[in-house]
Amino acid sequence: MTHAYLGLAAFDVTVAAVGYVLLWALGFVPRVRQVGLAFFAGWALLGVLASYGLMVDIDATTVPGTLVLAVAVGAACVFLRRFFPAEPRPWRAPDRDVLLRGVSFAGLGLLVVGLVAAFFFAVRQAADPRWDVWAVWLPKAKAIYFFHGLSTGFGGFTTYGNPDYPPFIPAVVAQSFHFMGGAHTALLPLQETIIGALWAAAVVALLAHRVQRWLLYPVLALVVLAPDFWTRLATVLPDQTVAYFIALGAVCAVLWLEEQRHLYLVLGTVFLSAAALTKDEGFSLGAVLVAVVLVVAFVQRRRRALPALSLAIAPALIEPWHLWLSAHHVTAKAEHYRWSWLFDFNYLSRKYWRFEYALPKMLGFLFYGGHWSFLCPLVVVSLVAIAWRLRALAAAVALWLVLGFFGLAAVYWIGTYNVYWYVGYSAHRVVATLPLVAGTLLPLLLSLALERSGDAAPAAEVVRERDLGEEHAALAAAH
Amino acid sequence: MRFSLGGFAAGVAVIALIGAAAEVPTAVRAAHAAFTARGESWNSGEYGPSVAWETTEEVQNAIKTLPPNAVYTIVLGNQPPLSSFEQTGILPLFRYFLLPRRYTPRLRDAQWVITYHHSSETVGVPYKKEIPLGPDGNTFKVTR
Repeated sequence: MTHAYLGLAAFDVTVAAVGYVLLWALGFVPRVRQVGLAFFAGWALLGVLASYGLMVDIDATTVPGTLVLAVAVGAACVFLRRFFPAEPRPWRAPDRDVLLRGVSFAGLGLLVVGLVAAFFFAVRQAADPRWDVWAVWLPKAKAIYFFHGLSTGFGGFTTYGNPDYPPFIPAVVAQSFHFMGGAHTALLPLQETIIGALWAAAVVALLAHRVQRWLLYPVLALVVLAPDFWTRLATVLPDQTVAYFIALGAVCAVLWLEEQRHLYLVLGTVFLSAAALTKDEGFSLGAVLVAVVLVVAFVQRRRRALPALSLAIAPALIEPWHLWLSAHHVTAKAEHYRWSWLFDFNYLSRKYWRFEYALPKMLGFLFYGGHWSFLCPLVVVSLVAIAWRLRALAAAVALWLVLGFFGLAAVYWIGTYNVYWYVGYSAHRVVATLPLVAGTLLPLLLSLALERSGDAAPAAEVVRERDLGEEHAALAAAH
Repeated sequence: MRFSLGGFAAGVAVIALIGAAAEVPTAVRAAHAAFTARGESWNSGEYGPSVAWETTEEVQNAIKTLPPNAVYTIVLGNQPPLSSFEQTGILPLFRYFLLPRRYTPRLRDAQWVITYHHSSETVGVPYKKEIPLGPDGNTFKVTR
C-alpha cells in the first residue's frame, strides 16, 4: 500500500503545483502559507478541465493526461501573467494587544487540534460505507478509471445512480486512482481530510491580509470543530466539497467587491465552476450567489461592475454537460422533481404538508447545537449587528442564505420521494453548505464592518506600515 | 448605552472560542477511538461497505472467480427470504466491487451469472459447473 500513499501524495503535490502557477499568474508571490489556496485552485482547475476532457472523449484523468493538462495550464498562465502584475499580499500584522493575541493563539490552537484529530480519525479508516459513496460516486470514478471515459455501455458511467450528476468528483477521484496505481478507495477518507485541512488553509490565505487574526482563527475553529463539519471531514460524499468551493467563491466575490482586484474574479470563477460541476446544489447555490453578487456590484459600482459578469461563466459551464447528457440520451433532470412544479399551485397546495414537515427539520439541522454548535445564531445576530455599517453586503449574504434555504426546502416540498426518509437521509448534508459558507464569510464581514466603523484600521494601511519592506524584497528577489 | 461594534466582534470571537473548545473532547475521543480500534469494520480496508452488508466473503470470492473482462448479471432470489434492505443494496454493492467487470441487467448478454439466495438450476441458462461464493451466493459461467 505504500505506493498508493506515495501516489496520492504525488497527486496532491501536482495539483498544488498547478495551483501555485495559477496564483503566480494572478500576481501572487508564491509562499508556503498559500499551499491550501494553491491546492484548491489547482484541484478545481484540473478537475474542471478533466471533466470537459471526458465530455469530448479525452481521458485526461490518467497520469500523462493530468501532466499534459498541467503543462497546458502552465502555458496559459504565462500568457495570463501579463494582465496581473505582481502585487504583495502580506498578512495582517499581529495584534499588539496581548489579550487579542491570546484569543488568536487560542483560536489557532483549537483549529490545529481539530484538524490533527480529524487526521488521526481518518488515517486508519476503511473505505467509506455510506450508500451514496459506493452506489453512486465511487462506481462512477471507477468506471472512468477502468474504462477511460464516460462509457455508456455495460457498467459505464451512466449506469449508476443519478446519472445526470456532473462528473467533477468522479473525474478527480479517477485522477487520484491513476496516481495511486489502483482504485484504492480505503485511502479516500484520508484524502478528504487532507482536502478539508487545505480548505481551512485556503480560507486563511485568502483572508489573512484583510481580517484580524483574533476574529479569523476562532470563527474558523468553530466552523471546523462544529459536529456537522468535523464528522464529515473524512466522508467521500461531495456535499462538503460543494460547500468548500462555494465558500471560497463567496470569499473571492466579497474581496472583489471590496478591493476591485480582478484576480479574485478569476479565482472565484474557478471555484464556482468546480462547484457547478460537482453536484446540483453546487450549480444552484453558486448561481444564486453569482446573481446576488452581480446585483450588489451593479448597485454599488454601475459600469465598473461589468467585469463581475465573468462570474456568470461558472454556472453557465454546466450547459455542455447537459448537452452531453442529451446527446447520450440520459435524462437530464432528477426524476423525482421538476422545478416547473413550483408554478403548479394546485400541486403545491396538495404537497404543502411535505414543506411543513421539512422546514422545522431543516431549521433544526442548522440551529440545534448538536449540528453546527453556536455558528448559526452567531451568523444571524452578526448580520443584524453589521447591517448598519455594511448594508449591501449584509443584505446580500442574508438574501443568499434565505434563497438557498428555501430553494433546498422547495425540493422536499415538490419531490416525490418519501419525505420522512428523504429529509432524514439528505437534508442535513445539503443544508450544511449554508452555515459553512456563512461561517467562512463571518470574520470577513465583521472585519469590514469594523473598518467602516473606525474601530479597526483598514487592512491595506496596516500592512503598508508594517510589512511591505519584506514583501518588496521578496518581489525583487523573484525578478 | 452606545453599541460598540468592536465589543460585539470581540464577543463573537469569545463565543466562537467557547463553542470550538466545547467540541474538542468529542473530536479527540472519536479520533482516539478510531486510531486505536481493532474491530473488523475499522480494519476492513477496501471492503468497508461489504462488511456492513455481511457479504464480504461472497464479494471477495466473486472478485477471485470472475475474470476482469467478464460481463455478468446477478439473479436475486428469495430462498431464504431477503429483506427489502438487502434487495435494494446487494446489486449495487456487487457492481461496485466487481468493476472493471461489466454488469448487464439482461441475462442473455451475460457471460457469468451470480445467484444470490437463488438456486442456479432454476435460472434458466445452461452451465457446466457451479462455483460457491459463500453461504448466500454462487456463480457459474454460461455455456452457449
